[in-house]
Amino acid sequence: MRDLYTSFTGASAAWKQLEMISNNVANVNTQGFREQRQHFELVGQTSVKSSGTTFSTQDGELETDNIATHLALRGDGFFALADGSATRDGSFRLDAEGTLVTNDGTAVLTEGGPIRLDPGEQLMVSPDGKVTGSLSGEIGRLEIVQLAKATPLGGGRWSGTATPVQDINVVQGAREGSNVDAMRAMVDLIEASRFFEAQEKVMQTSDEMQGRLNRIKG
Amino acid sequence: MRALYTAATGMAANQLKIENIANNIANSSTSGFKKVRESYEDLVYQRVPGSGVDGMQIGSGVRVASLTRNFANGDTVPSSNATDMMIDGAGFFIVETPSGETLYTRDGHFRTDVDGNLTTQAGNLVSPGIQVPDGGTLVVGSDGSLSADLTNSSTGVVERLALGTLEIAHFQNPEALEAAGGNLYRATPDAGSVSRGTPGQDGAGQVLQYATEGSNVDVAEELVNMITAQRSYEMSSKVIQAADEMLQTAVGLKR
Repeated sequence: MRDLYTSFTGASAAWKQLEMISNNVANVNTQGFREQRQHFELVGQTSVKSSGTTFSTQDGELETDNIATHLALRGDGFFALADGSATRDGSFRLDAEGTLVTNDGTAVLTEGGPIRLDPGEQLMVSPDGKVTGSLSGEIGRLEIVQLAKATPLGGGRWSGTATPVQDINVVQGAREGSNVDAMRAMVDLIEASRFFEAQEKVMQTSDEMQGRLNRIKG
Repeated sequence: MRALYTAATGMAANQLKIENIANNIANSSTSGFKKVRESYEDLVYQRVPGSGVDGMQIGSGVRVASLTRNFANGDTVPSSNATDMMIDGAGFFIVETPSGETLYTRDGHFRTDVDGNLTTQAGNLVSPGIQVPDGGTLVVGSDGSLSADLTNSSTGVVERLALGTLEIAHFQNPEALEAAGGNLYRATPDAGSVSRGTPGQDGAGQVLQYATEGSNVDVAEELVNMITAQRSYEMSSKVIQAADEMLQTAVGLKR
Protein backbone atom coordinates (compact mmCIF):
# COMPACT_ATOMS: atom_id res chain seq x y z
CA MET A 1 0.00 0.00 0.00
CA ARG A 2 2.88 2.32 0.74
CA ASP A 3 3.88 2.36 -2.93
CA LEU A 4 0.51 3.77 -3.74
CA TYR A 5 0.95 6.75 -1.41
CA THR A 6 4.59 7.31 -2.33
CA SER A 7 3.69 7.60 -5.95
CA PHE A 8 0.73 9.73 -5.04
CA THR A 9 3.01 12.36 -3.47
CA GLY A 10 5.15 12.14 -6.62
CA ALA A 11 2.16 12.65 -8.89
CA SER A 12 0.95 15.53 -6.78
CA ALA A 13 4.40 17.20 -6.93
CA ALA A 14 4.32 16.80 -10.71
CA TRP A 15 0.89 18.44 -10.85
CA LYS A 16 2.14 21.36 -8.76
CA GLN A 17 5.11 21.59 -11.08
CA LEU A 18 2.68 21.87 -13.98
CA GLU A 19 0.72 24.62 -12.24
CA MET A 20 3.92 26.51 -11.68
CA ILE A 21 5.10 26.10 -15.27
CA SER A 22 1.65 27.25 -16.36
CA ASN A 23 2.07 30.47 -14.37
CA ASN A 24 5.63 30.99 -15.57
CA VAL A 25 4.67 30.49 -19.20
CA ALA A 26 1.62 32.76 -18.89
CA ASN A 27 3.99 35.45 -17.62
CA VAL A 28 6.74 35.25 -20.25
CA ASN A 29 5.86 38.81 -21.28
CA THR A 30 5.15 40.26 -17.82
CA GLN A 31 7.49 43.12 -16.95
CA GLY A 32 9.56 42.45 -13.85
CA PHE A 33 8.19 38.91 -13.42
CA ARG A 34 10.36 36.44 -11.54
CA GLU A 35 10.32 32.81 -12.55
CA GLN A 36 9.26 30.40 -9.81
CA ARG A 37 11.01 27.08 -9.44
CA GLN A 38 10.03 24.07 -7.38
CA HIS A 39 12.51 21.96 -5.45
CA PHE A 40 12.04 18.28 -4.82
CA GLU A 41 13.20 15.90 -2.16
CA LEU A 42 13.48 12.18 -2.56
CA VAL A 43 10.84 9.94 -0.99
CA GLY A 44 11.98 6.33 -0.75
CA GLN A 45 13.82 5.23 -3.86
CA THR A 46 11.28 5.85 -6.53
CA SER A 47 9.49 9.07 -5.87
CA VAL A 48 9.78 12.68 -4.79
CA LYS A 49 7.84 15.26 -2.90
CA SER A 50 7.87 19.00 -3.16
CA SER A 51 10.21 20.75 -0.74
CA GLY A 52 9.31 24.33 -1.51
CA THR A 53 9.84 26.89 -4.21
CA THR A 54 12.19 29.75 -4.93
CA PHE A 55 12.06 32.70 -7.29
CA SER A 56 14.83 33.19 -9.81
CA THR A 57 16.74 36.41 -9.17
CA GLN A 58 18.28 36.51 -12.59
CA ASP A 59 17.86 39.84 -14.42
CA GLY A 60 15.19 39.85 -17.11
CA GLU A 61 16.04 41.24 -20.52
CA LEU A 62 15.88 45.00 -21.03
CA GLU A 63 12.93 46.25 -23.08
CA THR A 64 14.17 49.65 -24.21
CA ASP A 65 11.43 52.11 -25.16
CA ASN A 66 13.06 55.48 -24.25
CA ILE A 67 10.08 56.49 -22.11
CA ALA A 68 11.66 58.60 -19.36
CA THR A 69 9.40 57.27 -16.59
CA HIS A 70 10.25 53.64 -17.33
CA LEU A 71 13.00 52.26 -15.12
CA ALA A 72 14.74 48.88 -15.03
CA LEU A 73 16.80 47.50 -12.18
CA ARG A 74 19.93 45.49 -12.81
CA GLY A 75 21.08 43.11 -10.12
CA ASP A 76 19.29 42.41 -6.86
CA GLY A 77 16.65 44.61 -5.29
CA PHE A 78 13.17 46.01 -5.70
CA PHE A 79 11.72 49.52 -6.09
CA ALA A 80 10.20 50.54 -2.74
CA LEU A 81 6.60 51.81 -3.02
CA ALA A 82 4.51 54.09 -0.82
CA ASP A 83 2.14 51.32 0.30
CA GLY A 84 5.00 49.34 1.86
CA SER A 85 5.26 46.78 -0.92
CA ALA A 86 8.01 46.59 -3.52
CA THR A 87 8.17 45.82 -7.23
CA ARG A 88 10.58 44.92 -10.01
CA ASP A 89 8.20 46.20 -12.67
CA GLY A 90 9.46 49.65 -13.67
CA SER A 91 6.46 50.57 -15.88
CA PHE A 92 6.05 53.84 -14.04
CA ARG A 93 4.17 56.94 -15.15
CA LEU A 94 3.32 60.38 -13.85
CA ASP A 95 -0.10 60.90 -12.34
CA ALA A 96 -2.26 64.02 -12.65
CA GLU A 97 -0.24 65.77 -9.91
CA GLY A 98 3.10 64.90 -11.49
CA THR A 99 4.01 62.16 -9.01
CA LEU A 100 5.93 59.14 -10.29
CA VAL A 101 3.59 56.18 -9.74
CA THR A 102 3.10 52.55 -10.75
CA ASN A 103 0.42 51.45 -13.21
CA ASP A 104 -2.18 51.37 -10.43
CA GLY A 105 -1.16 54.73 -8.98
CA THR A 106 1.08 53.88 -6.02
CA ALA A 107 3.93 56.35 -5.54
CA VAL A 108 7.52 55.24 -6.15
CA LEU A 109 9.84 56.25 -3.31
CA THR A 110 13.18 57.90 -3.02
CA GLU A 111 14.97 57.78 0.32
CA GLY A 112 13.17 61.07 1.08
CA GLY A 113 9.67 60.19 -0.11
CA PRO A 114 7.74 60.33 -3.40
CA ILE A 115 9.03 61.95 -6.59
CA ARG A 116 7.01 64.96 -7.74
CA LEU A 117 7.65 66.89 -10.93
CA ASP A 118 6.38 70.29 -12.00
CA PRO A 119 4.38 70.57 -15.24
CA GLY A 120 6.63 70.25 -18.27
CA GLU A 121 9.53 69.01 -16.20
CA GLN A 122 11.74 66.18 -17.44
CA LEU A 123 12.66 63.26 -15.20
CA MET A 124 16.28 62.18 -15.13
CA VAL A 125 17.54 59.10 -13.30
CA SER A 126 21.25 58.37 -13.20
CA PRO A 127 22.53 54.76 -13.21
CA ASP A 128 23.29 54.98 -9.47
CA GLY A 129 19.65 55.90 -8.75
CA LYS A 130 19.92 59.66 -8.33
CA VAL A 131 16.66 61.32 -9.39
CA THR A 132 16.83 64.81 -10.87
CA GLY A 133 14.13 67.07 -12.30
CA SER A 134 15.04 69.40 -15.17
CA LEU A 135 13.57 72.37 -13.24
CA SER A 136 13.56 71.43 -9.57
CA GLY A 137 17.07 69.95 -9.53
CA GLU A 138 18.07 66.98 -7.40
CA ILE A 139 15.08 65.22 -5.83
CA GLY A 140 16.76 62.29 -4.08
CA ARG A 141 18.04 58.79 -4.50
CA LEU A 142 15.71 55.94 -5.45
CA GLU A 143 14.93 53.67 -2.55
CA ILE A 144 15.90 50.20 -3.64
CA VAL A 145 15.34 47.40 -1.13
CA GLN A 146 16.35 43.82 -0.70
CA LEU A 147 13.51 41.58 0.49
CA ALA A 148 14.05 38.77 2.95
CA LYS A 149 11.34 36.08 2.61
CA ALA A 150 10.00 37.78 -0.52
CA THR A 151 6.37 36.83 -1.04
CA PRO A 152 4.60 37.63 -4.31
CA LEU A 153 1.33 39.52 -3.89
CA GLY A 154 0.33 39.52 -7.56
CA GLY A 155 0.17 42.63 -9.70
CA GLY A 156 3.97 42.64 -9.80
CA ARG A 157 4.10 43.43 -6.08
CA TRP A 158 6.16 41.76 -3.39
CA SER A 159 6.20 41.91 0.36
CA GLY A 160 8.92 40.90 2.77
CA THR A 161 11.37 42.28 5.29
CA ALA A 162 13.00 45.16 3.49
CA THR A 163 16.61 46.28 3.89
CA PRO A 164 18.00 49.10 1.73
CA VAL A 165 20.43 48.27 -1.06
CA GLN A 166 23.44 50.59 -1.35
CA ASP A 167 24.77 49.44 -4.68
CA ILE A 168 22.12 50.58 -7.15
CA ASN A 169 22.21 49.97 -10.86
CA VAL A 170 19.19 51.36 -12.67
CA VAL A 171 18.50 51.98 -16.36
CA GLN A 172 16.20 54.79 -17.47
CA GLY A 173 14.06 54.50 -20.59
CA ALA A 174 13.69 50.74 -20.36
CA ARG A 175 11.73 48.13 -18.48
CA GLU A 176 12.87 44.78 -17.23
CA GLY A 177 11.22 41.93 -19.12
CA SER A 178 10.17 38.65 -17.54
CA ASN A 179 13.06 36.42 -16.49
CA VAL A 180 11.21 33.23 -17.43
CA ASP A 181 13.40 30.85 -19.41
CA ALA A 182 10.87 29.64 -21.98
CA MET A 183 13.08 26.85 -23.30
CA ARG A 184 13.59 25.45 -19.83
CA ALA A 185 9.87 25.76 -19.10
CA MET A 186 9.04 23.59 -22.09
CA VAL A 187 11.61 20.96 -21.05
CA ASP A 188 10.21 21.05 -17.50
CA LEU A 189 6.76 20.59 -18.96
CA ILE A 190 7.77 17.41 -20.77
CA GLU A 191 9.55 16.15 -17.69
CA ALA A 192 6.56 16.82 -15.44
CA SER A 193 4.10 15.02 -17.68
CA ARG A 194 6.39 12.01 -18.15
CA PHE A 195 7.09 11.83 -14.43
CA PHE A 196 3.35 12.01 -13.77
CA GLU A 197 2.81 9.09 -16.15
CA ALA A 198 5.54 7.07 -14.45
CA GLN A 199 3.92 7.62 -11.04
CA GLU A 200 0.63 6.54 -12.51
CA LYS A 201 2.26 3.28 -13.74
CA VAL A 202 3.58 2.60 -10.24
CA MET A 203 0.13 3.19 -8.81
CA GLN A 204 -1.41 0.90 -11.40
CA THR A 205 1.13 -1.88 -10.74
CA SER A 206 0.65 -1.53 -7.00
CA ASP A 207 -3.10 -1.71 -7.51
CA GLU A 208 -2.78 -4.85 -9.65
CA MET A 209 -0.54 -6.56 -7.12
CA GLN A 210 -2.99 -5.76 -4.39
CA GLY A 211 -5.77 -7.16 -6.54
CA ARG A 212 -3.83 -10.35 -7.18
CA LEU A 213 -3.08 -10.71 -3.50
CA ASN A 214 -6.76 -10.43 -2.72
CA ARG A 215 -7.59 -13.14 -5.29
CA ILE A 216 -5.13 -15.70 -3.83
CA LYS A 217 -7.48 -16.18 -0.98
CA GLY A 218 -10.30 -16.28 -3.57
CA MET B 1 -7.58 22.42 -12.73
CA ARG B 2 -5.78 25.67 -11.92
CA ALA B 3 -3.04 24.91 -14.43
CA LEU B 4 -5.62 25.01 -17.22
CA TYR B 5 -7.06 28.40 -16.22
CA THR B 6 -3.62 29.86 -15.62
CA ALA B 7 -2.50 28.86 -19.09
CA ALA B 8 -5.73 30.26 -20.51
CA THR B 9 -4.92 33.72 -19.04
CA GLY B 10 -1.57 33.48 -20.84
CA MET B 11 -3.33 32.78 -24.12
CA ALA B 12 -5.77 35.65 -23.60
CA ALA B 13 -2.94 38.09 -22.81
CA ASN B 14 -1.12 37.18 -25.99
CA GLN B 15 -4.32 37.42 -27.99
CA LEU B 16 -4.65 41.01 -26.80
CA LYS B 17 -1.02 41.65 -27.67
CA ILE B 18 -1.68 40.50 -31.24
CA GLU B 19 -4.79 42.71 -31.47
CA ASN B 20 -2.78 45.70 -30.32
CA ILE B 21 0.06 44.94 -32.76
CA ALA B 22 -2.53 44.74 -35.55
CA ASN B 23 -3.72 48.24 -34.66
CA ASN B 24 -0.16 49.60 -34.51
CA ILE B 25 0.74 48.09 -37.88
CA ALA B 26 -2.51 49.29 -39.45
CA ASN B 27 -1.53 52.81 -38.38
CA SER B 28 2.11 52.62 -39.45
CA SER B 29 1.49 55.39 -41.97
CA THR B 30 -1.09 57.43 -40.06
CA SER B 31 0.11 61.01 -39.52
CA GLY B 32 0.91 61.69 -35.87
CA PHE B 33 -0.05 58.19 -34.72
CA LYS B 34 1.54 57.05 -31.48
CA LYS B 35 2.18 53.35 -30.94
CA VAL B 36 0.61 51.58 -27.98
CA ARG B 37 2.40 49.03 -25.80
CA GLU B 38 0.90 46.65 -23.26
CA SER B 39 2.08 46.18 -19.69
CA TYR B 40 1.37 42.91 -17.96
CA GLU B 41 0.97 41.96 -14.33
CA ASP B 42 0.94 38.62 -12.61
CA LEU B 43 -2.30 37.63 -10.86
CA VAL B 44 -2.65 36.70 -7.19
CA TYR B 45 -0.65 33.89 -5.70
CA GLN B 46 -2.38 31.16 -3.73
CA ARG B 47 -0.84 29.36 -0.83
CA VAL B 48 -0.71 25.62 -1.26
CA PRO B 49 -2.46 24.06 1.76
CA GLY B 50 -0.18 22.13 4.10
CA SER B 51 3.02 23.58 2.70
CA GLY B 52 4.26 25.00 6.00
CA VAL B 53 4.83 28.49 7.35
CA ASP B 54 7.08 29.68 4.57
CA GLY B 55 4.70 27.77 2.34
CA MET B 56 4.59 27.36 -1.33
CA GLN B 57 2.62 29.85 -3.34
CA ILE B 58 1.48 29.24 -6.86
CA GLY B 59 0.51 32.07 -9.18
CA SER B 60 -2.71 32.09 -11.13
CA GLY B 61 -1.65 33.69 -14.39
CA VAL B 62 -1.39 37.04 -16.05
CA ARG B 63 -3.50 40.06 -16.91
CA VAL B 64 -3.00 43.18 -18.96
CA ALA B 65 -2.24 45.99 -16.52
CA SER B 66 -2.34 48.86 -18.96
CA LEU B 67 -1.98 49.94 -22.54
CA THR B 68 0.47 52.81 -22.72
CA ARG B 69 0.88 55.15 -25.62
CA ASN B 70 4.46 56.00 -26.51
CA PHE B 71 4.59 59.71 -27.33
CA ALA B 72 8.06 59.61 -28.88
CA ASN B 73 8.28 61.80 -31.98
CA GLY B 74 7.48 60.20 -35.31
CA ASP B 75 9.49 60.74 -38.48
CA THR B 76 9.46 64.14 -40.14
CA VAL B 77 7.65 63.78 -43.44
CA PRO B 78 8.39 66.71 -45.79
CA SER B 79 5.49 68.22 -47.65
CA SER B 80 4.99 71.05 -50.12
CA ASN B 81 1.82 72.24 -48.42
CA ALA B 82 2.00 75.55 -46.55
CA THR B 83 -0.75 74.38 -44.16
CA ASP B 84 1.17 71.25 -43.12
CA MET B 85 3.02 71.53 -39.85
CA MET B 86 4.33 69.36 -37.06
CA ILE B 87 5.44 69.74 -33.46
CA ASP B 88 9.08 68.85 -32.99
CA GLY B 89 8.98 67.81 -29.34
CA ALA B 90 6.23 67.52 -26.75
CA GLY B 91 2.77 69.07 -26.95
CA PHE B 92 -0.43 68.95 -28.97
CA PHE B 93 -2.26 71.15 -31.45
CA ILE B 94 -5.58 72.28 -30.02
CA VAL B 95 -8.69 71.88 -32.17
CA GLU B 96 -12.35 72.76 -31.69
CA THR B 97 -15.00 70.41 -33.01
CA PRO B 98 -18.17 71.89 -34.54
CA SER B 99 -19.98 70.89 -31.32
CA GLY B 100 -17.61 73.11 -29.33
CA GLU B 101 -15.54 70.39 -27.72
CA THR B 102 -11.80 71.02 -27.33
CA LEU B 103 -9.65 68.13 -28.51
CA TYR B 104 -5.94 67.66 -29.02
CA THR B 105 -3.93 66.23 -31.90
CA ARG B 106 -0.39 65.60 -33.07
CA ASP B 107 -1.52 65.46 -36.68
CA GLY B 108 -0.64 68.82 -38.28
CA HIS B 109 -1.92 67.93 -41.71
CA PHE B 110 -4.17 71.01 -41.85
CA ARG B 111 -6.06 72.79 -44.64
CA THR B 112 -8.10 75.95 -45.03
CA ASP B 113 -11.84 75.82 -45.46
CA VAL B 114 -13.93 77.96 -47.84
CA ASP B 115 -13.71 80.94 -45.47
CA GLY B 116 -9.95 80.61 -45.13
CA ASN B 117 -10.11 79.16 -41.60
CA LEU B 118 -7.27 76.82 -40.66
CA THR B 119 -8.86 73.42 -39.96
CA THR B 120 -7.94 69.75 -39.70
CA GLN B 121 -8.73 67.46 -42.60
CA ALA B 122 -12.02 66.59 -40.89
CA GLY B 123 -12.94 70.28 -40.65
CA ASN B 124 -12.27 70.95 -36.95
CA LEU B 125 -11.01 74.47 -36.30
CA VAL B 126 -7.39 74.82 -35.20
CA SER B 127 -7.15 76.95 -32.03
CA PRO B 128 -7.00 79.96 -31.74
CA GLY B 129 -9.05 80.42 -34.90
CA ILE B 130 -6.71 81.51 -37.68
CA GLN B 131 -8.15 82.94 -40.87
CA VAL B 132 -5.84 83.01 -43.87
CA PRO B 133 -6.81 85.82 -46.28
CA ASP B 134 -7.70 84.91 -49.85
CA GLY B 135 -4.58 84.49 -51.99
CA GLY B 136 -2.29 84.60 -48.96
CA THR B 137 0.40 82.01 -48.25
CA LEU B 138 0.61 80.86 -44.67
CA VAL B 139 3.97 81.37 -42.94
CA VAL B 140 4.60 79.56 -39.66
CA GLY B 141 7.46 80.53 -37.38
CA SER B 142 9.13 77.93 -35.13
CA ASP B 143 7.66 79.86 -32.15
CA GLY B 144 4.17 79.29 -33.60
CA SER B 145 3.70 82.82 -34.96
CA LEU B 146 1.37 82.71 -37.94
CA SER B 147 1.35 85.23 -40.75
CA ALA B 148 0.29 85.40 -44.39
CA ASP B 149 2.32 86.59 -47.35
CA LEU B 150 0.15 88.60 -49.69
CA THR B 151 1.28 89.92 -53.04
CA ASN B 152 -0.04 93.40 -53.68
CA SER B 153 -1.56 93.10 -57.17
CA SER B 154 -0.78 96.69 -58.21
CA THR B 155 2.76 97.10 -56.89
CA GLY B 156 3.88 93.42 -56.91
CA VAL B 157 5.35 93.84 -53.43
CA VAL B 158 4.93 90.94 -50.98
CA GLU B 159 3.42 92.09 -47.72
CA ARG B 160 3.44 90.04 -44.53
CA LEU B 161 0.29 90.14 -42.45
CA ALA B 162 0.43 88.87 -38.87
CA LEU B 163 -2.44 86.46 -38.09
CA GLY B 164 -1.79 85.31 -34.53
CA THR B 165 0.10 82.66 -32.62
CA LEU B 166 -0.54 78.93 -32.54
CA GLU B 167 -1.23 77.49 -29.13
CA ILE B 168 0.26 74.23 -28.00
CA ALA B 169 -1.26 72.19 -25.20
CA HIS B 170 0.94 70.41 -22.75
CA PHE B 171 -0.08 67.65 -20.35
CA GLN B 172 1.69 66.39 -17.27
CA ASN B 173 0.72 62.83 -18.12
CA PRO B 174 -0.17 62.55 -21.84
CA GLU B 175 -0.28 58.74 -21.57
CA ALA B 176 -3.65 59.11 -19.84
CA LEU B 177 -5.27 61.01 -22.71
CA GLU B 178 -8.24 59.25 -24.21
CA ALA B 179 -7.99 58.47 -27.92
CA ALA B 180 -11.09 59.94 -29.57
CA GLY B 181 -10.37 58.48 -33.02
CA GLY B 182 -9.55 60.53 -36.08
CA ASN B 183 -6.06 61.24 -34.63
CA LEU B 184 -7.68 63.25 -31.82
CA TYR B 185 -7.24 62.96 -28.08
CA ARG B 186 -9.60 63.99 -25.31
CA ALA B 187 -8.38 65.35 -21.96
CA THR B 188 -9.04 63.18 -18.88
CA PRO B 189 -8.61 63.96 -15.17
CA ASP B 190 -5.68 61.52 -15.03
CA ALA B 191 -3.81 63.43 -17.74
CA GLY B 192 -3.45 66.34 -15.34
CA SER B 193 -4.15 69.99 -15.95
CA VAL B 194 -3.60 71.23 -19.46
CA SER B 195 -1.24 74.15 -19.91
CA ARG B 196 -1.66 76.14 -23.09
CA GLY B 197 1.55 77.73 -24.17
CA THR B 198 3.68 79.07 -26.92
CA PRO B 199 5.68 76.57 -28.98
CA GLY B 200 9.27 76.26 -27.85
CA GLN B 201 8.54 77.39 -24.30
CA ASP B 202 7.95 75.54 -21.00
CA GLY B 203 8.91 72.17 -22.44
CA ALA B 204 6.62 72.43 -25.48
CA GLY B 205 8.11 71.53 -28.85
CA GLN B 206 8.74 73.89 -31.74
CA VAL B 207 6.58 74.05 -34.81
CA LEU B 208 7.95 73.06 -38.22
CA GLN B 209 6.16 74.10 -41.38
CA TYR B 210 6.14 72.16 -44.67
CA ALA B 211 6.32 68.85 -42.80
CA THR B 212 3.96 66.50 -41.03
CA GLU B 213 4.76 64.02 -38.32
CA GLY B 214 4.72 60.42 -39.46
CA SER B 215 3.60 57.50 -37.31
CA ASN B 216 6.13 56.41 -34.67
CA VAL B 217 5.34 52.74 -35.29
CA ASP B 218 8.41 50.71 -36.18
CA VAL B 219 7.05 47.89 -38.32
CA ALA B 220 10.09 45.67 -37.76
CA GLU B 221 9.64 46.01 -34.00
CA GLU B 222 5.95 45.15 -34.32
CA LEU B 223 6.74 42.06 -36.35
CA VAL B 224 9.26 40.85 -33.80
CA ASN B 225 6.63 41.43 -31.09
CA MET B 226 4.14 39.50 -33.16
CA ILE B 227 6.47 36.51 -33.32
CA THR B 228 7.03 36.55 -29.54
CA ALA B 229 3.28 36.88 -28.92
CA GLN B 230 2.51 34.00 -31.24
CA ARG B 231 5.13 31.74 -29.67
CA SER B 232 4.05 32.63 -26.13
CA TYR B 233 0.48 31.85 -27.13
CA GLU B 234 1.63 28.49 -28.46
CA MET B 235 3.56 27.73 -25.28
CA SER B 236 0.52 28.38 -23.12
CA SER B 237 -1.54 26.15 -25.37
CA LYS B 238 1.07 23.40 -24.94
CA VAL B 239 0.68 23.71 -21.18
CA ILE B 240 -3.06 23.24 -21.57
CA GLN B 241 -2.40 20.19 -23.70
CA ALA B 242 -0.01 18.74 -21.11
CA ALA B 243 -2.49 19.41 -18.30
CA ASP B 244 -5.21 17.72 -20.30
CA GLU B 245 -3.02 14.66 -20.91
CA MET B 246 -2.10 14.43 -17.24
CA LEU B 247 -5.74 14.62 -16.25
CA GLN B 248 -6.52 11.89 -18.75
CA THR B 249 -3.77 9.74 -17.22
CA ALA B 250 -5.20 10.38 -13.77
CA VAL B 251 -8.68 9.45 -14.88
CA GLY B 252 -7.28 6.28 -16.46
CA LEU B 253 -5.99 5.15 -13.06
CA LYS B 254 -9.28 3.64 -12.00
CA ARG B 255 -9.71 0.41 -13.85
